[in-house]
Amino acid sequence: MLVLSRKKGESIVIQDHIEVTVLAVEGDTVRIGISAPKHIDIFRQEIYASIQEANRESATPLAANVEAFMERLRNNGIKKD
Amino acid sequence: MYKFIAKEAFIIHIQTSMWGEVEVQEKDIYQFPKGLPGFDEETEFALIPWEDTPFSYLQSVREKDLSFLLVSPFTFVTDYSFELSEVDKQELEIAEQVSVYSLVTIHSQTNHSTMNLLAPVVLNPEKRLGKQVILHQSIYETRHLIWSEDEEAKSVKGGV
Repeated sequence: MLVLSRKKGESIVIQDHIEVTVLAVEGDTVRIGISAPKHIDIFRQEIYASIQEANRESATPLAANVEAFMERLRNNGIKKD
Repeated sequence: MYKFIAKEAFIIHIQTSMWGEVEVQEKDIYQFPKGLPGFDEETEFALIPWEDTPFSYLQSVREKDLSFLLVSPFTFVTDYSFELSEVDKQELEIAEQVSVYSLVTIHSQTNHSTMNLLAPVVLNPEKRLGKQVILHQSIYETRHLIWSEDEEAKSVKGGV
């Protein structure tokens, strides 16, 4: 990992188009501004990780579990639309 | 007549682990240019509706062992709402039509099954483009219980 020290208001440029600026430092919280091309998605790491994990859990459900799930829905009255 | 020919001409056969080979119409094949988080390499999926239910399967065209169960989130959370960002709209080339689905996680204990409201799958049926959108600053969770605890309590009491 590349480690750089920056002061408030200073930036880092990644490739040509991504600029990361330190906006404010307060205690152990740092506010960061990122300007990047539109096609680049930016997320908080822990949110992205939780979605990756949820997706892995969702992937390829077992047929038996799907059947039990649908059975339960039928019992509860499934809404068809 | 024209319609019939067009339909016949665009049927695609794909392999699935659930049902072997299935026929899918070309209009149900969606491109996910960025894949899905955790499955970045898979960029082409078939949307296979499950008849008489609000569910559909999102089946990878390339990887037969990869599929997801989707549901319209509004089926269970009638007041679900979010604002699609301009960037996402542009990326999906959305003009008018848009479909929204949630990924379902089925647990072996079915009452613990959840759906992902924080990262809905947004589709443009006209351009057949899709993306799993991650909502910023949202109150929604990745694991929203399909049957809330309250409902559980009610159904136990009134069950017999």
